[in-house]
Amino acid sequence: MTGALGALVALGLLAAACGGGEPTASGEPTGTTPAGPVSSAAAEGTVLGLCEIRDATDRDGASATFQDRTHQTLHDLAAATEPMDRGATADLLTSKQRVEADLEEVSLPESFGADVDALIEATRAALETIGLDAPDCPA
Amino acid sequence: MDLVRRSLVPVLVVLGLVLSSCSSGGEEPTESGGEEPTASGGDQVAAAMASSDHYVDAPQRVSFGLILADQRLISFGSVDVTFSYLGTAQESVAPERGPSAVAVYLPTPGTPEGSGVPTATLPSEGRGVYQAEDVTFDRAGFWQIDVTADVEGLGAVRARTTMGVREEPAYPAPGQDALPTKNLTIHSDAPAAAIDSRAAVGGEVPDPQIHEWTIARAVRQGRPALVLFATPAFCASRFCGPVTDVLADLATDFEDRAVFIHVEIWEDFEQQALNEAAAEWLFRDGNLTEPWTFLIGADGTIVDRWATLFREEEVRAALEALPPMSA
Repeated sequence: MTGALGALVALGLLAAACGGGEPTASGEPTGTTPAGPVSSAAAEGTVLGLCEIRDATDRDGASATFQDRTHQTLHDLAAATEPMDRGATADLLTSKQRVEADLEEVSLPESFGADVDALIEATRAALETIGLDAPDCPA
Repeated sequence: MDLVRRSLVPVLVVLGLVLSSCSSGGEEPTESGGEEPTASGGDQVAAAMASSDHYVDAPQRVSFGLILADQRLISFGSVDVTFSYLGTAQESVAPERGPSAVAVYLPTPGTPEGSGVPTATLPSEGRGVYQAEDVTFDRAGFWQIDVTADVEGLGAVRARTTMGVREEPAYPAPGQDALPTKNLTIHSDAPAAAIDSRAAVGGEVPDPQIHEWTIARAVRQGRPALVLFATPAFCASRFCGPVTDVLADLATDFEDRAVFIHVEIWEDFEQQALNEAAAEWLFRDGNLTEPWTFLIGADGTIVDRWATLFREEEVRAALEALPPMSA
């Protein structure tokens, strides 16, 4: 039995097998990642999702948006960035955890907007690491 | 402490894009040319393994997630699974039918209550895995898992993935002696984030009740122990944080029955340095999987273990069955 079997982590896959960096069916650019492509569309959607919640006051709505529009791509992005820049990965994951902690509070703390801004910046840095652009937040 | 370098195989993150047809290359057995995983409406459905380190001749849990191509998850209820033997890396065979089971939904802690039938959900509506219990494999090698489910609104769904079964477990397993590991505690002279990666955010080690004991001390004093290996801040999956929170709750509720220990995976994430305790238990063949939870009996023998998620009520029942500890 191969050691690769041990790498099937928590709903993960044999990561390298899935062709990081290859073009998607739609031909859109993707960041190079051994875990699977982070598409430019996913990157854009994630950043815009974070932009959407940074001024939120409704915790449940912000939590749902975070879970449904950003959380998975942030994990994918961390996996993609990890082999290239662990500092950027650490910033991304700790910023993500800070926002998650905010979302577990009974109501959103005053620091929530700043914490989301920090996560947006960490996300931009991670996307840059894998060669993807991130959109600006809408004015 | 020695630095242990981890070459953790980058993993696709939990509940993410999953393609059961992905292959790692030549060592994978040939797929058997079965049907493409589908729902009756044409939606692609993928199955992805959540459990690992399976081995022969012992009943164990097998868990997997089901994901639609649009990233929605299949959640709630139960699904049917059949296992077929595919041979080994050296010699693949035509699929030979093995055990069958019903896999019941196992939600990630914090998942809202849902319907009793499999349903396509957004992550905010449901996130978790399906778990079959007491599955026994009679041969080492590669096994195919065929999943069938009746998903509300989608109809019949089929998905397929493969898994490996070893002759012997790579990680400590039930019936074996627990490794007398001296993991870091809040009394250790170590960076707070090496004791619990959540301290990388908050600055302080949270939940001190799960950072008081070493496994070695628990074994030496004959204390039952529930031990979680996880990196809640640097986790590659959605599972580590929630299961760490549950461990902290259990530690409060059952402080008279067992000791509760969280072992952080990373001594220093940015330097790729593993905590030695995590490496002793989980670093094999250049890989490490987490989270893992182990229940160690008062005699120092491993009673049970759970890959990724565990059913909280099951663990609570196991803890309630333990006699109260002396002070």
